This record gives sequence, C-alpha cells and structure tokens, in this order.
Amino acid sequence: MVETEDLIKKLSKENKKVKCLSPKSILWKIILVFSLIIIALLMTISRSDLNDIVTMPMMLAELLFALATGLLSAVAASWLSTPDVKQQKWVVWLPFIPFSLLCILVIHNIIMIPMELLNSGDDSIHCITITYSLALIPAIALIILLKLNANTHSTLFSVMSVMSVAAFSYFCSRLICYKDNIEHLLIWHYIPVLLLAIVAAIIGSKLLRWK
Amino acid sequence: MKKTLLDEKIKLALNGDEKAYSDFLTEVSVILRAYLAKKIFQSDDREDVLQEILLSIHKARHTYDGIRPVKPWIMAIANYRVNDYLRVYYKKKDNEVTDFDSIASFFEQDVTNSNNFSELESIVNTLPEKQKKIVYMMKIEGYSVKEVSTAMGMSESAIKVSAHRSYKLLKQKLEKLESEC
Repeated sequence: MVETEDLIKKLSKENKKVKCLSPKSILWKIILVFSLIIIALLMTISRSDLNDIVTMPMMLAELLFALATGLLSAVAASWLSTPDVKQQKWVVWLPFIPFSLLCILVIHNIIMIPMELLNSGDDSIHCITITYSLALIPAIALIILLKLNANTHSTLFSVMSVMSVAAFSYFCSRLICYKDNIEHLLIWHYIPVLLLAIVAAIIGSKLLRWK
Repeated sequence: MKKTLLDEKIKLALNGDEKAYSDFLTEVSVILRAYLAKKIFQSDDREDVLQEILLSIHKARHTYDGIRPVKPWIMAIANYRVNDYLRVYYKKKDNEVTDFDSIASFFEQDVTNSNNFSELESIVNTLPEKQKKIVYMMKIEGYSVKEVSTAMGMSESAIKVSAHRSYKLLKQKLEKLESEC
C-alpha cells in the first residue's frame, strides 16, 4: 500500500495550473444547445398556427412553465455537478416552482376539459418519435458537459438532468404538434415524457455517478 | 468572507504551485484523519479512504473556483467517498458480525470437566491453522487483539475479522454437535 505522504508528494508533482470549469460556463453551453434546437425547429417543422398561441393563455402558460422547468433544471444540474453544489443548495429547489405550476395546469386540463372517447384510430406515434428524438441531442450534450465535473449527489443530479431534458423535449414537441385536444396530449405527450423521465432517471443515477 | 490559510494555499495550488499544493494536501489529510476517526470503525481502512479522498480532491480540483470557502468543498468530497466506502463495507457479507456472546456460554461451561474441554478442544482443532491460533491466543491464553496482531504480523482489523469468522464456524459446529446429541 502507498503511504499517504508518498501519495501527497506524487500528487503535488502532478499538479499543474488548473483551469476552473465553472457551472456557469456549462450552463451557457446547455442553453446554447437548447436555443439552437428551438431556432432550428421554428425555422423548419414548427406548427403553422404559432402566432395564434398568444391568444391562448393556457397554452402560452404551459409552454412558459415547460421552458422554465427545462432551464431551471439545467441550472440546478450544472450547480449539482460541483461537489459542494457551489454552496448554494437552494438552487436545487428552483425548478420545482415552474414544474409544480406545469403539473397543476396539466391536471386542471385533464379534469376541467371534458375528455371525449379516446380516438384509438388516431395515429400519433410520430409525436412520441419527435419527443424522444428531441430529447436525444440535449441529453448527450448534458451528459458530456456535466460529466466533466464531479457530482456528489448522483440521484438528485440525474433527476435534474432528466427533468431538464424531458421538459425541453415536451416544450419542443408542443411547438411542432398542432393537436391540442387533451386526450391526444395525455396519451401521446404527457405519458411518453413521464415514461422517458422515469427510465432515464433510473439509468442516469448510475450513468452520471462520479467515479 | 474570512479567508483561511487553506483557502490561500488552494488558490496558489490552482496556479500550479507544487509546494502550496503539497502543504494544502498535508493540512487536509490532518483534518480528514480526525473526521474519518469518527466515521470509520476499521482503523486500517481509514488510511485507504483518506487516500481515496485525496485522489478525488486532486481529480476534482478544477471544480473549485477559488472564491467560495474551500472546507465545505473538501467535506462534500470526503462525505461522498465515506458513503461509498460504507456502502461497500455493509454490502460485504463477510463483514457480518458474529457476536461472541452467542457462543460465550459454551466457553463459560465448566472447563475442568474433561469431557466438555476435550469436546471444545477437538472442535477448535478442526479450525484452519491461523484461525485456531487466533482463538487460542485470544480466548484461551487471554491476549488482546493488539497483542495477537503484533505476534502474528497481521493488522488488528484482520485479526478481528478472522476471529469473527472462527466464532461463526465454531457456533455452527457446536450447534451441529448439540443437535446430534
């Protein structure tokens, strides 16, 4: 076994000038990835009635809450990628504010808007494909960027990363899909995102663990 | 915010100062030894965990920006590594504690009774050589763990683990013997 004093000597010799990788710089890179995807979507395959969204306060609120959840979860994940959470643990609670509001809004929609018979013939599998495809790029970017740091709260860290990607892909899929009826949203948007989040959080807590 | 000497040293170390980094790690190891003494029961493992923490600090030093206090940053890494160690430790089935009290009654029996003594001796003799010697030294000749570890050239924790395994084995054999009678 190596003596601790010898290890200290060895590590000291290896020490060189270190460039600090701040969570803020990681966050800006994540925001850049998110923004590029949104711009690309708006310029290519976004829904044709986007201008009308301004006249639909419920949907506007839904989009804003989803985007805020995605961004604030990215902030929390970036902060959580440092061992001491930058000594600002309150940041971890931030995404739960828009996320709770989004959940309330979704539950309100499910309860208040009468659900007609589920249209089983409605082939909207492409909504799931879009949601999952849109999650892929930010998820890879997030894993690469955040793995550069050292997290000591692997479960919370993976939950935040997953929440960020899931909220972002949900937001993007709503920009693309023109169907706003609640049964469609429930089956082809909410449930796939929820399943994605659960599976990814389980895998993520192992994958994103700092060795 | 009041800056400590440790904060100053890590700042210099991040700029590539070898001496400051060495001093920083030495000072950190002093703090961590005290911390680990409270957290880890196995004295032999403490030094291993300390080295793990020092390596982790070395690997993660780019996550420290030199602005916020360094001690919470160190302790967050230390906590993480200690939890890692404890998780592995409690997972190991070998570390299951076999309480000596469970077979103590057998040792407390009338050893002057030649039948009991020879019965016990024959069971102890079936143990592997090293375990037999440890049981003899600790429970028959009355040596302490430290004395046995010195005599056998093994660490104290290794002696304890070996003794526990022996007791477990003895317990099984005694129970088997009782059930046969």
